[in-house]
Order: sequence, then C-alpha cells, then structure tokens
Amino acid sequence: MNDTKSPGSGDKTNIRTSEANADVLELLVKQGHFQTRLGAFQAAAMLALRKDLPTVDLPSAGGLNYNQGSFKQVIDFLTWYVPTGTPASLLEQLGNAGTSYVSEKVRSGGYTFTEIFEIVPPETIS
Amino acid sequence: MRRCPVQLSEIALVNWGPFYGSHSINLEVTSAAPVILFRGENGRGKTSLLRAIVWCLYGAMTDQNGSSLELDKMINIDALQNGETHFEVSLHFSHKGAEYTLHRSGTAVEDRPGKVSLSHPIVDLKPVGGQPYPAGQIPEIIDGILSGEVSDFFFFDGEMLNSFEKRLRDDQSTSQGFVRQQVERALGLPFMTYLSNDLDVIQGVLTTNLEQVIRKTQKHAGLSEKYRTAVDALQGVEGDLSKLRDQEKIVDKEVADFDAELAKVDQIKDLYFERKNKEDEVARADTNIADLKASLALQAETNWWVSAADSLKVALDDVETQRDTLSETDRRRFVLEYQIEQLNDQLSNGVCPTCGQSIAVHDEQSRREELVELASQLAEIPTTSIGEVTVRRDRLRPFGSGAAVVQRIFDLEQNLRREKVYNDRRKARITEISERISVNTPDIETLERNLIDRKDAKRRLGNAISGLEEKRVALKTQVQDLGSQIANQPEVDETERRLQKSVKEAQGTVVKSYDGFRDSMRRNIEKAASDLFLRLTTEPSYTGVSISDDYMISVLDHDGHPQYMVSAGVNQILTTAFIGALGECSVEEAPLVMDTPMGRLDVGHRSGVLKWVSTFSSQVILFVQSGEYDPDRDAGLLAGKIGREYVINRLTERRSEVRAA
Repeated sequence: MNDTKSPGSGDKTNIRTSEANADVLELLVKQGHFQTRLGAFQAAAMLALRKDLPTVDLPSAGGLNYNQGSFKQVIDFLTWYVPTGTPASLLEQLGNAGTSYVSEKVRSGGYTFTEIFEIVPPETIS
Repeated sequence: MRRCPVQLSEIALVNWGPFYGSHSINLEVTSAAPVILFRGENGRGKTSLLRAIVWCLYGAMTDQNGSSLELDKMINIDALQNGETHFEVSLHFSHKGAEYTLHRSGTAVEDRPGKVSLSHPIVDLKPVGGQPYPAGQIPEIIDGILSGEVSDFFFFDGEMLNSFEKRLRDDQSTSQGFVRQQVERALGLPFMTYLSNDLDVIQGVLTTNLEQVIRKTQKHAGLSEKYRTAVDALQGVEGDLSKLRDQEKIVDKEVADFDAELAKVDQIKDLYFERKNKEDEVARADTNIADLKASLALQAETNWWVSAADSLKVALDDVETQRDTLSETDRRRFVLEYQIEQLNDQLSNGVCPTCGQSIAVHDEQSRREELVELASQLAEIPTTSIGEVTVRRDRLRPFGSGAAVVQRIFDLEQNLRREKVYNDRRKARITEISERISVNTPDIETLERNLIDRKDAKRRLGNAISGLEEKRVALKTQVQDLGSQIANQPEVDETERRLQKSVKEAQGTVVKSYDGFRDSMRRNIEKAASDLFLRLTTEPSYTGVSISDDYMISVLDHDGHPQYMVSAGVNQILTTAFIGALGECSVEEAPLVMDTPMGRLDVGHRSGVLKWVSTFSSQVILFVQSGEYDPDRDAGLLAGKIGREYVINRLTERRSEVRAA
C-alpha cells in the first residue's frame, strides 16, 4: 500500500524508509544534527545523489512513510536536476541509500554533521 | 618623611628556618638609601627572616592566619636531623643613639620525626659597652623601644594585609569597631584607660573615707545613704559590665577561633567557590552548546541540499561554461547566416554590394563554393537552445551560495567543538575539586553560620555594654556629685576635701583628653591614609579616604562622597594606605619591614607602593618575590634608595642562603 503510484504520472505518492533507516534518522535527530527525520532523510538523499550511491532494496513493510508532498522542494529539484519523470521514486531510493551509507557513523556516535555527510571544506567548493 | 629612632644594623641566625648553620646579614643603611631589598621566590625563607626579627624582639610570633606560631616550626630540619640542637637569632640595633644587641637562643631535639622538644629559650639584651640588662626587665625595655602592641604596623606580611582587608570589608559594626581599635592602638590609648581607672579607684577610696567621717556625726544620714546607694548601684553596674566584658572576651575568642578555622579552610573554601563558579560556567556553556546545536540543526534542515553542495557548485560551473559556449555558438551562427544571406543576395542580383560591379568580375563560381562551405559550417553548429541552459543555470544559481553555507556550518561546528572542549575541562576540574574536598571537608557553611551567630552575639553584647556604660557614666557622675557634697560638709578635713577635688578634676581632664586625643588621631590617620591612598591608587576618580566620626572608613569619589562598596583591588589599596597611615601616625617609630606586600597588586599599584617606599628616609626592609618586583623594571621606581640588596637562594629543599645581589 505504500508503493502506490501517483495517478497519471507513474510516480509514487508515498515515500518509505526501511526500519533500520528509520532508526538511523531518529538517531540523527536525537544527536541534534537535524530538527526532523524528514530533514535528515533529504540530506541523506542529497548525499547519495552526490556520491552516486547504489540503490538498496526496501523491505515490503516497516519504517517511516511520508507523503511525497512533504518533499516538494526536493522532488521539484530532482525533476529538473537529474532529470527524471519519477522523482518521488528516485528520492525514496536515494534517501534510503544515503541513510544506509551514514548508518555506521551515526550508530557509533561522536561524529559531527560534516563528518557524517562527508561535506567538503568550504575552500574546496568556491 | 621622619627619621625613626630605631634602626636595625645586623641580624644573625643559627639554624633558623631554611637557614642551616650560621648566617649574618648586614642591615646598615643611610637615610639617603634606606631601603634593603631581599629578593627570593616563594619558600626560600623571606617570611622566616621577618619572623626572626619579630621573635627576637618579642619572643613570640604568629603564623599566616594570625595565630600563635610554635617555635619548633622555625628550627632548621637538617640541623634537627643532624643532631645540631642549638638555634639562635641576634639583632643589633640602635635606638636614640644607643646601640644594643638582643640575643635569643635555645636548644631543640627531635624526639621522633615531627616531634620536637625545646629548652626554655634564653634572652639577653646588652647595650654596646654596657652590662646586660636583667632578663626580667627585657620585655619592658623592648616594649619601651617598640611596643609589641603596635609592632604589626611596622612588621607585616601579605597575610596581615589580607586579614586587615577582610576586617575592613566586614559588616559595618565590626569594621567600625576594628578601625576604632586600630586608631586607639596607634595612639597608645590603653595607657590612658589604665590611668582613668586608677583615678576612679583613688577617688572611690577617698570619698568612702570622707563618707565614713560624716556618717560618724549622724548629721547627714540622708546624704550618706544616697551616696552608699549610688555607690552600690555603680558597683552593681560595674559588676554587670565586668561580666559582660568577660562574655565579650569569650565571644571575641570564639569569633577569632571561627575566623582562624575559616582561614585554615580558606583553600577549601576557594575550591568550594571555584567549583560553584565552574558549575555556573558549565550551566551557561551547556545552554550555549544547546544553542549552537540548534543553529546547526536549523542550517542542516533549511539547506537540505548542503550535503551535495560541492556537486551543485560543479553543476553550476558546468552550466555557466556551457552557456558561455552556447553564446559563442549563437554568435557564430548569426555570422554564418548573415554571410550566407549576403552571398545569396550577390548571386541573385548579379552585383557586388561592396564595389557595385558585376559579380562576374569576382568569380561567381568561387562565391558559390564559398556559399556551400558556409552552409556546411552552419549545419555543423549544434542546435541546443541557450534558453534551456539559461533556465537550468537560473535553477542552479541559488545553490551557488553553497560555500558560504558550508563555511557557516564549519564555523558553528568549530565553535561547538571548542565550547565542548572547554566544558569538558570545566567538568574535569569540578570532578577533581569534588574529590579533593570530599576528603575530610569541614562544614564551611556551619562554620560561617556560627561565625555570623557569634558576631551577632558580639553585637548584642556591644549594645548591652554600651547601655550599661551610659548608666555607669550617669551613676559615676551621681557618685561624684554626692562625693563632692560629702566633701563640702564642714566635718570634712580641708586637706582631704582638696585632695578629693583634685582627683575629680584629674578624672575630668583624662576623660576629656581621651576623647580629644582619639578624635585628633582619627583625623591624623584619615589625612595620612588619604595622602597615601592617592599616592598608591591608579584610579583618578577617587579623591581620598574618609574615617567618619563613628569610625567608618571609606574612599571618597570625585564629588567627595564616601563609597563603601568598592572593588577588591581598591580595598587592597585602602588597606595598605590604612596600615601605612597607622604606622606613620603611631606614637611609636620603627623601621618598616614588609614581607611580600605587593603579591596581589597589579603593576600600576606595585609601582605606587615602590614610589611610596622611595620617599622614606628611615629604614625599610622589603621582602619581595619575582612576581612583584623585577630589578630591571622596578629598580628605577625606588629612585636610588636601595641601600642594600640581597638574593635568597635555595641550596637544597631545606636550606637557603642570603647573598648580596
């Protein structure tokens, strides 16, 4: 029921996380890196996009379930940036891949936000 | 500055403090260069030298808390362990032109580690070229040269400054009493009290004798009865006063004991307050850390794309480059299309648009080949729309601030890391302090509560004594009046009457003088303290020191208003000025010997003290450590007044030596 497609677009209407990833997102909030699990999921998706992480298979049940409307900004972004006609599906894959990728550091604790998300120093961006 | 009548010329030590064996130090100076400097780091023996002077003069000394210090603490440990039992201190000094040698010595045996038995120390005082004074008279003679009662105005250490400072900072009634007591000490008023009491006794005896004379005549039974009743009442009040004063002494001792107890736990107290401050700092830092974390979380949440900031910046740079390329391509296309259009026009009109001649002149065939070439080049230009690229660039542009956002996040993390490190250090210190004070911690709060309670009791007793004093004065006046009436009866012998009258007048003179002297001394000390305070302070807005009629001491602000709440630093300067003034105005005159007097002062105030010392023409002995006196920096402040300079060197952990610098 969580994998329903958006009518007419062929995309998903809901975005799910695995149960394990839900715990990691919860930890990211508890450790004070994010205000919400949704925010942490978006950041994880952007990490996966940047690192071109391989997608992971989602179990059929468990975890968190969001309406794709909650991710409007990211979905709009993915639509033109990738580009893709199924940005919600892509976001689900990216978010879960990114969350799995950071899970070890988050579970062990003691890492900063920039260390977890491997954010490069500002001088190398400009 | 005055030239004091007492001058120390030499001190000799044997097995005293860290000075193992025999040591002799020349202290002779001239009025042109009266300052003797002893420089030495903590633990080298500066305070031992000061104590040697005090012990030699008075046979007793105090520790840093003002409590009596046992002599065995001053015997050199190496000497004790080597079985060298003899110790001594000798002072050579001059007083009003005469020279003396005062010598105090004894033997000490260490029965077991830490347990020392002392023989009764021997003291002798000999004028140069004369016979030694009888031992029993020596305390009185020394007291006549420099009374032990006021010696601490001249021989003092940093701890005494602390103790004075604490007393001046105390609650109003206690500090007032303290200031008044010091003024009376400087004036030598206890002597006048004894005189007044002696006159009271003489008058009492005289009047009682006269009363017995008139009682025999049976003519003045009423007067006699009134006198006896008044005397009884006066004796009753004096008895009560005596009891209250005894109680006051007990309370004073209790207050002193609690003070001493608190002084002993000062270090623990400091730790206690340090822990409290650290706990407050930790609480503030925790709030700060929570704020920093919240800011970071807000940044992460708002800038959801930041974990791909570098990729987005690359994408933006790529699209900008792509757009630049497309602009060039568009320009090239436009040029080619224009050239093709021109060629097509030439070929269709048959006329060269530049020169107006027939196209045949320019080789029509080559124009057609050129046209084909241009068309071919136009066909090779990609057809990508710059419009699409511009839209993509505009969409990516908001992510162009990625570096700034990431910089903000890195900064926040750095602040957070720093704050956490500092806070961890604070917490570690709190744990360390807790471990230290958990071992046998005295109940400081109970001690302080008891001290306040005793001070309250002292205040109540003070009020009761003051009430009884008034009653006593009234009764005394009544007894004196009745005594005068008795003395005026015809039955009384004329000589007895005159004697009684003379004693009464003498009593009145003493009482008036007492108040007058004290008030005059208060004003002198106020003036001297004010001058010295202004000399020492680095704060230009203060205009002096005031000691009010009721003995409240304060500094005056720029409008001349008393300021009772001043900073700890100003209070230190006020204390130094007050002690300096007491010494200057004291009825006694002696060399000034100061041990580490500037340890807690800042550079500006240290300079002030040294400049003050440089105004002396009488002997000054300064014991200083490197933190308060730097020869290169400060010698100039003493304006060439250094007559002798010594360095106290450590030879071993238990031995020091004094060498000329």
